[in-house]
This record gives sequence, C-alpha cells and structure tokens, in this order.
Amino acid sequence: MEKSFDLSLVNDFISIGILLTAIALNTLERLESCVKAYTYNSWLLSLLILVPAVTTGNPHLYVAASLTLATKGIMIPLFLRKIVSQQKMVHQVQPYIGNLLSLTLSGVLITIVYASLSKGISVTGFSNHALKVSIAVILIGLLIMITRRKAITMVVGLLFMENGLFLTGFSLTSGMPVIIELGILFDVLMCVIILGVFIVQIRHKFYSVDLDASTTIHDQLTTLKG
Amino acid sequence: MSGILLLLLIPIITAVLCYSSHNRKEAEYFSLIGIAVTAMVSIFLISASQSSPIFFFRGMFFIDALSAYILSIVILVSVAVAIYSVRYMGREFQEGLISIKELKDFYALLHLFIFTMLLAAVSNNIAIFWVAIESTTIVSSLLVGFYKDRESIEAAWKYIILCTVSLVFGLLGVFIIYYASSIVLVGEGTLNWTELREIAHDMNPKTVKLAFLFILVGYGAKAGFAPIHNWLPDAHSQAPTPVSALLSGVLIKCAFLGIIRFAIIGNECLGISYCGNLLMIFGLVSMGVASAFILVQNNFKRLLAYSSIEHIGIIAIGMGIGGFCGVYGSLLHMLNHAIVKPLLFFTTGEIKLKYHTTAIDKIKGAMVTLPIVGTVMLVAALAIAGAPPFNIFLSEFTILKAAVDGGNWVTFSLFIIFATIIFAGLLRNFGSMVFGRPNIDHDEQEKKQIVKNGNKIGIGIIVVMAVIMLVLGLHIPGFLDEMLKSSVKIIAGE
Repeated sequence: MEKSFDLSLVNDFISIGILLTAIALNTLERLESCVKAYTYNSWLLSLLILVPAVTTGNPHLYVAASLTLATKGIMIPLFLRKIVSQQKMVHQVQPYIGNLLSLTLSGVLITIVYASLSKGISVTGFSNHALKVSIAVILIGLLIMITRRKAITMVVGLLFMENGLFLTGFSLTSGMPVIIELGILFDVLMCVIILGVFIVQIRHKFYSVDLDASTTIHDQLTTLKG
Repeated sequence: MSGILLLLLIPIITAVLCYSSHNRKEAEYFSLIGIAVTAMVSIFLISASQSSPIFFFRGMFFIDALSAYILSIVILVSVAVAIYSVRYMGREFQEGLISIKELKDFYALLHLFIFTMLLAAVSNNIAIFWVAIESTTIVSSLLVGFYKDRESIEAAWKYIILCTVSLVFGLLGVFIIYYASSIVLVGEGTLNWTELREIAHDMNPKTVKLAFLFILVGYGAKAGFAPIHNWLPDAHSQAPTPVSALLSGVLIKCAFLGIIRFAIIGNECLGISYCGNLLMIFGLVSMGVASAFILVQNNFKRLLAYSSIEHIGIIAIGMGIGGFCGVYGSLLHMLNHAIVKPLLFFTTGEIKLKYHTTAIDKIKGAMVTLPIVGTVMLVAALAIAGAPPFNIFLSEFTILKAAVDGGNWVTFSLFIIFATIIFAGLLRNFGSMVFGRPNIDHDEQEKKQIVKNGNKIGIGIIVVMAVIMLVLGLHIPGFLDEMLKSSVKIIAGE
C-alpha cells in the first residue's frame, strides 16, 4: 500500500514536468530550444509509462514505453534538429503575440481545464491528475500552433498535441493494444517526415525569392515560413 | 479470410513495381494491371460478403454490407482514375511538365493512396480506421503538392496541418469510446466496431456524446464539413486532375464512413435524435457555405471543390434525417456523386489540357473545340446541379421525400433554397464555358493534337462513366438495390 502511494506521487511529479515543458514552450525564443523542450516532454512521457510498467510488471507497458522513447524521444527530435540546423536564416520563433500574453493565455487554458475536470470523471488508468495535464498540454499545443509564424514551430505544436493525446490515452485507460500503438506511432513518424519534406520545399520556394523582396511574396511569407 | 490480405497487398506491390519501373510504358502497364487485379479480388470479396460478413485477423478487418458498398465505390472510381491517369499524366509528360521520375512517383503514390482508402473501408477496428484515414492524409498531401510550385506546396501544407490537427481530436474520440467500453466490459476494453455495437446500450450516454462530438470534428474536417472545410478547395484545385477526382469522389466518403459507424453506436446508445440533429446542422451549414462560394467562383476546379462540400452536406442531411428513405437516399447519393464528380473533373481536365487555364472566363466554346468532352461536361454539370432525369436528382429527391415524411420542414425549405442557388451558379459557370465562340485557334490546336495524341482510352472512360450516370438516373439495378437495402439495415436497423 505504502509503495503504490509513493509511485502515484512520482507520477504526479512527472505529469507536472510534462505540463511545465509545454508552458516553457510559450517563452522560448530559439527554434533549437523548442525542439529540446519537445525532447524532454517525450522522455518524461515515456518515463510516465515506465513507472506503472515497473509496478505492475505488465510487459505491454514496457513495450509502449520503449516505443515512445524510440520514436518520440529519439528519432523525431533528431530529425527536427537536422531540419533546424539546415536553416541559414534567423533561428527566432517570431510569434504573432508577445510572450507575456502567450503565457497568460496558457494559464487561462490550464485554469479552465482544472476547473471543468475537477469532478465527474472516474479514471481507470493512472491518475485523475494526468488526465487534466494531458488535456492542458493538447490545448497549449494548439495555442502554440495558431500563434507562431514558422512552419517548424507549427510542427512542434502539433507534436505537443500528439504527446498530450498519448497521455490522455494512458490516463483514461491503461494503454491501447500494442499493435494499435505501433500503427499510431508509425503514422506520427511518417507525418513528421512528410512535414519535414514540405518545410524544406517551402524554404526553397519562398526564401530564395525573399531576397528579391517583392511585396506580394512578403504577404505570403507572413503566413508561411520555413 | 485471406482475400482481404490479398486486397490490401496488391496495391502496395503495384506501387513498388511502378516506383521501380524503367520507363513510361512499364509504369503505365504495372498501374493498369495492378488496378485490374485489385478490382477482380474486390469483386470476389464484395459478392462473398453479401450473405454474411467476412472477418480477418482477430476481427480487426471485416467486410459487411456497408463496407462492401463503400469498397465498391472506391474500386469503381479508382479504376476510372487509373485509366484516365494514363491519358492525363501521359499528356503532361509529353508536354514536359513532369519528368519521368515524377511520373513513376505519381503512379506509386496513386496506388498507395488507393491502398489507404481500401484499408479504411475494410477496417473493423476503429483505431486501425483512424490510422488508415491519417495515412490517406499523409499520402495524398504528397500528391496535392505534386507539382512543387508555391501554390501547391501551400495547399499541401494547409491540408496536412489542418487534417492532422482535427484527426488528433478524432483519435481523442476513439480513446474515449475505448474508455467507455472498458468500463462496460470491466478491464480490457474493445476497439472492434462489431463488439462496440453490441455493448453500446450499456455505455455511459454522456461519455458517448463527448466521443461522438470529437469524432464528428475529427473526421468531419476530412469529409469537408463547412466550418472546417478550408483545406478542401485548395487541395482539390492544386492536385493533378486524376487525384482531384479521387479526393472528391471517394476520400471524403471514406472519412464519412467513420462518422456513420460512430453514429450507429451513438444511435444505439442515445436514440436517433442526437447524432441525427448534429449531422443535419453540419449538412445545412455546408450547403449554405458552398452555395455562397459557388456563385462567386472563377476557377473551375475550385468550383467543383465547393460543389463537393455541398454534396457531402446533402449526404449528411440524408443520414441525419434517418429512416429508410433518408439513409437509402444518402447512400445512393454517395455513389451518384462518386460517378458524376470524377466525370466532371475528367472533362474539365481535358479542357485544362486544351486551354491551359483554370479560369472560367477565359474559356469559351468548349462544345466546338472538344465536341464529345464538351457535351459530356454539360450533361454532367446538369446532373451535378440536380436536374432530372439524372441520378443525382433521384437521390436528392429520395432525401427530400424523407424530410417531408419526417416533417423536417426547416431542413426541407433550406435544402430547396440552397439547391436552387447552387443550380443557378453551376449552370451559369458551365454554360459560359461550353457555349459561345471558341477563343483559341482551333485548327492549329487540332493539328498538334493529331501528332501528339494517339490515346483514346481516356476519352473512352469518360463516355463509359457518362453512360453509367445516365442509366442510374433511370433505373437502379437489382444487385445495387440489394446492396443498398442491406446497408440501410445495418445503419437504421430493421
């Protein structure tokens, strides 16, 4: 009894860590740090799955934790870092709204989630706490997507949403069947790769002409940047 | 039954063969033979599934009457598109718009795209269905951005981002349903649709409501419902014409299949009014938005894209009204739209090859420059606008009859108003393209044509589809009626 209590506390700490990495995304100025925030987020996510795997000894959870670490924690961050480092222009995030406003909005979102989920949902998985955190992470990811200008920050926002979604899945139930998880992870991986291909193409088509600085193209650049 | 495995493997093998082929002829032959074999296997499976559903791999895949119906639509349009691609992409290759590598990539991606749609049609497991729909986004976004110019890359980017974000919410809906089932079954939940349907009565209604909302937003964006349709006109207008036909003809219906499956679970759990009303509202909003944009459109591919939004709205309205007539009309409308819309894309594709523009006001006298294609296009435009005696009129009439029978007078009158506006908009635009004095030098073009173009099979498929369209307007064959009735039985009960 004593042991399981301790571990649920550990899980609460880890989920708070996941929330903090998402909040930190609001204030990060450089693209590299955004990718780093995502990496930490994914590591914490797989750690969160690993803890109940150790306590229950369920082999399926071990597989899920290692798959998450391999794709979200290692492969996708490496790929994103490569794309960011290829970029020769400014590595700034350039948000539409200021950091302070962005942080405030995130705070409001978290408050709404905690207020609306404070009762009424019984959870079979880890903890009620993880569920609130996961919904908050999904919403913050969405906020990042719509308030940032660069294509790569959009991708990072999308990936945060997907991490939040995985956390929701694990906190509502004790995980999906392995073959399903494999399918979903494969899809996420493919999606990121294709998005990466498009980012490179956008850079080719839009940046090379940016030097000529015609006004119509400038208009397009505000909506779409490599 | 390993037939399903075969059905899914053949398009992948075809894609690999097309990718590794050495020249244009080889790629085209691989593509045509591949689609022919796929069609044969699927006809065998569809006829086998009519008596009882076929299951495969622990019940994760299955073909019941409804999947068989969607499967036959997918196959019908895919065969037409594969044949037409030989003509259209061949012409673009001859004119030097695309390289041989791009041509091979096109065929490989086309067959992968068909594979993902087949996977969606035959999956019983709702999470596999999600994976399939997400894969359609990934593969088709590469096809949308195929020409790699600014507009198409922007359209592809918009498409993949919007659809992936909304599908994230769709997956949340899947998780919630899994959670609801795990409470009913105590412990391990289930993701198989057939099992979910059996336990739907015992699920918590509030949880199911929440899940259906997420599913509706998630798959609704992919199906092209109005407030979340923004990707659709861009993607449809930037993709190569055969791909536009596939996107509009079948992809949006595959996504709608997911909504139907969840609406069945929702109906069992909540009664028919909740899901039905939501579908009706989305349908009417889609029709309204489409009617506004169709009036002011000057790009014919975008015009056709907005028309797709209108028709997915009509399909949703029929499904929302429910009852035998509503569901029957809605399912029939899926098939009719899947025949007429690709036909319009093919004929306008011919016009694009001839006039080298997509602006409606720059095209005059298509009837004179392209007699067969121009005529078929005018007839198909009349059909898509809903004029009798064509097939679209028949299914729209069935849906309206269901609305009157059910006393849905608001839906009925809004439907009539929007359909009238769209009728006017479509005929004005297509009329100005077909009639009038040709504004390109006809004879000179003709000479070039004879030298370049020995391929008549593309025109052949246009004529064949036009014949199917005319026949379906006058008479519904017995086997189709049987398929429709057994699909209606699955959706609306006895």
